[in-house]
Amino acid sequence: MPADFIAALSNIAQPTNFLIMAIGVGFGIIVGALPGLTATMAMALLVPFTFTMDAVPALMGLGGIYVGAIYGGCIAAILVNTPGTPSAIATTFDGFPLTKKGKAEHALVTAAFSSAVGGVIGAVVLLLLSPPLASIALKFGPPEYFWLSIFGLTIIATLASGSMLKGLIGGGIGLLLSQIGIAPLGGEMRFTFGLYQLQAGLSLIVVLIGFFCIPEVLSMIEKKFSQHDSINYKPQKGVAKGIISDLIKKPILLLRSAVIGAFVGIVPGAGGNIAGLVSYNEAVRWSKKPKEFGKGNIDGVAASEAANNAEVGGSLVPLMTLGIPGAAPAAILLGALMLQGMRPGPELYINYGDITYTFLFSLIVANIVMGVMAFYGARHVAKLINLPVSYLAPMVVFMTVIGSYAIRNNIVDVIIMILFGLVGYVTKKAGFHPGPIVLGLILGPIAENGLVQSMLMGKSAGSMFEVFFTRPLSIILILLCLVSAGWPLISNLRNKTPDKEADANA
Amino acid sequence: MKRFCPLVLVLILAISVVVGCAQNGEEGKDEFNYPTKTIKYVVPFNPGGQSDLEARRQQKPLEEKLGVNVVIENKPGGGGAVGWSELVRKDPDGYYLTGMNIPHIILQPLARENAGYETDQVNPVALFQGTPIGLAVQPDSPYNTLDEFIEAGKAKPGQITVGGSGTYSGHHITLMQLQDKTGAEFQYVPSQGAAPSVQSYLGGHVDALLANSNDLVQHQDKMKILAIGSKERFEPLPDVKTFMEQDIDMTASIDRGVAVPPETDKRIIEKLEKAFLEIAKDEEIRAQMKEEGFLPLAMGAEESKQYINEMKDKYSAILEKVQAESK
Amino acid sequence: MLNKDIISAAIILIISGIFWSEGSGLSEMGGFFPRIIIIVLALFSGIQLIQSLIKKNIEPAFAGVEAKRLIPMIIGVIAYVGAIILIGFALASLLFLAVFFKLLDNTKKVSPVKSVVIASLITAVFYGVFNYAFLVPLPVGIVFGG
Repeated sequence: MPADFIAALSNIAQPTNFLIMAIGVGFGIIVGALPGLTATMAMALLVPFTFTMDAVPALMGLGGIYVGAIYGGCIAAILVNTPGTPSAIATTFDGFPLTKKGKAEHALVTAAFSSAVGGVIGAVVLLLLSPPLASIALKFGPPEYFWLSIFGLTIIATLASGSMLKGLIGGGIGLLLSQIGIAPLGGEMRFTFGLYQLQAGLSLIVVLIGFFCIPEVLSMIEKKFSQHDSINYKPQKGVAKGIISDLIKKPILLLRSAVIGAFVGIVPGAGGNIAGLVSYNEAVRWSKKPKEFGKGNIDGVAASEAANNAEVGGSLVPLMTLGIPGAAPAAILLGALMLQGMRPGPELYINYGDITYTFLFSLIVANIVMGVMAFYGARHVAKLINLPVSYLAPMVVFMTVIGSYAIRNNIVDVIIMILFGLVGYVTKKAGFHPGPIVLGLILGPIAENGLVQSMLMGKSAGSMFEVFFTRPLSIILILLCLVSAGWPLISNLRNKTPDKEADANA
Repeated sequence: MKRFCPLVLVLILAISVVVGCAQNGEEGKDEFNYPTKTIKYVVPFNPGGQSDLEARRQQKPLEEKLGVNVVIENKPGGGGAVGWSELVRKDPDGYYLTGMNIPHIILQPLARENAGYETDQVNPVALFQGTPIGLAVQPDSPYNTLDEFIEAGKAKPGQITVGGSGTYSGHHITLMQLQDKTGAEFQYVPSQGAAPSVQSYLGGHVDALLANSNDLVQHQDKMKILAIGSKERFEPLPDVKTFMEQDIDMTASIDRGVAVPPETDKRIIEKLEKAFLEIAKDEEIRAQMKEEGFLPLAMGAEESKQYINEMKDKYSAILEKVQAESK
Repeated sequence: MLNKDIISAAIILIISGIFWSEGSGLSEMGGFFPRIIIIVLALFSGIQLIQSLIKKNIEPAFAGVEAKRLIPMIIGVIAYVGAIILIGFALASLLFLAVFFKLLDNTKKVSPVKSVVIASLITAVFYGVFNYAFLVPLPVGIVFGG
């Protein structure tokens, strides 16, 4: 093994390899920043080249793109309230309010630093803890997925700013929208209203762009002299240093977020979007000033970004040890590995130790490269927001149109995006936050798959109760659901007791 | 209004420039000049899937053989149905190809009332890759042979769970066929895609698994493979008996190919067929496919069409029977 | 008195009804989960309806919005998508951007020429990047042969 480590480090230090990775990171950041272009798509573009490339640069380039793209998603989230990738949904909650306060650079530097820290932690987890964690991932069967999605739905309590009831309704609408298309089990067409184009269902990214971005554009222009015209980013000295020293003082926030991200990543099928949302939820829960979230708290940005970048490492755990791609980008990596004749699994580490460890170490390095690029880019990127509304608003619409088309090369998606954009504007005015709606949309398929598969298992085992309520991991998840749903009561009690517990994250 | 006049003028100017550029690419009328411009090769699945990887493997050699650019475009949705619905509505000019998967293109129109296309409208050019479907059980399972497994399915109807990918999919129809031929009864537990079903199997959440040959090859040390759906022994898994060898008259496979819109000129199809078959017969590509756990195929347009019709008859008979029973 | 909460709750109730009837033919396996969702959704919006009938003083939804600016934008966005289908992405985008750069300008400093030039530049750059770097062929429209 030590020999592999040394070979790995010298592979990474080779200028060509390093350059390919760094270009990958840069390319990934740009692609991630553009709404509708995903890490998966960017990696797929590189695939034809990997047919002729050596394994090391091919894998390093792909890893670089993956890392860069997940970070890049935060840029559009912070500047125009549109998650560039679904992973950045939770970044919009506090990132965009910061921009509105003229603190875009604060948000971008926070994202850069916490992404890098989260990403490195995730990669270290992948490097050191893969085998034991992979066996936990396998324990996730249908009932566990069902309970996991129920736990996810309890986040609505945090996301529903203002009215709890409207949050629940929003979640219900999201779940209902997720049902459009072909039923995952049974194969029937549901709620397509006779349109064959709808059998593909609604793409999460298309709905995200519509719900988050178009309402924001319309709010920008709805008043002649809108607040957006007063948004002015003025470069200040010392912002970056101040933010970083601020974040270093919150190691528990960063560590907790990264651990949540890596753990969610390990569960195949649960992606960076869920990681960011869960982590954000916990940041609010453990904060002493939960009311400040959603109004421009850098902790919210840090929690989301540290988690979604840690998820990258986590999502590769089941791939490298079991050969199961837990996320779409991981599927592309699997393809690239197989092309090189490298079959994921324990023998990967034995037969191809040097290449495998090169890849794993390069992920750590890629995260650092990404952090540096993002850090120095923050100030320049923040200036984009100084464009006058008359330019910014049409350009953002233009970008949303390209993005929603590019995701599936389908004009129907653009129509759906605009439709949901207009609906989103009205629902926002009626007091519905888009957060719970997209949460429902993300969790709907996971919940349904888990529920119906479990029922089939229960049918064949002869007992539903046994399947849903007696499996050890399910019991843990059920307890988590109960604690999470009952938390408002618990925190009420806690606030009444005079002695305050020390909380490092306040 | 006056202020807008210059705006309109400039706009007209700009439009005429753009239009001028757009018409540069106009194709010649002579069919023998095919192909003269960029060909769009649509993959009706997500990037990173096997169909996508296959198209990307062919992209460069196709460009060499046809002498024009080939652009790959993913149009996923509805298990491929969105892409095929689009294909059958396109102009048959030979510049729009779509990857085609069997049995998807047969089963979707059979199972859904409004899939957006009919099987006969998908006009095959070639089939180049087969993925035999195999049946595997857990390593600690009491069943060691297909016979034992079938007997258990008869003795305990519906109590053995079999994982697979999708409803009315290749895996689902394979199980229906097996039940139909033997009278055994299993509980099918479908997942959304092959990877989640393998995961569910490896975690021990289902008793048995229907899986594609590449997944079987990859995870062979964690499973007892009872049978495989190829016609003859499958080279990468030489010890696994076929269903036919074990006296169950069925094959099961997912086959990948490429298709053009209906009523495409014969000469165009011939030209494409030639290019695709040359690539399919390339020794290096064949070796790569076997290494990854696939069966290289090289079936031309006519042969593919026949194969599709044959499978269509078989599958519609099974589906009719199953649907009649459930009513 | 109608307010935004009554209206939104009523609309969601109606939508629940539409989905319920659309899904009435679904099998047990495919219909189980959506039916649960619809019931829960209808229940919550029913509660909201009752609550909002009792509660007074709900802020109007569109306070301070200038329809003069908003409605052209909404029409423009819809027309933009229609134009993409008809005349393709490049031309539609050029038109959309140029018109709105000028229309939304409060300062009256942007000349028509400038707005068209900037719009052409942006369209050209993105069209090029998507078609050639990201290999996403953007739609060319029915008129020019889709």
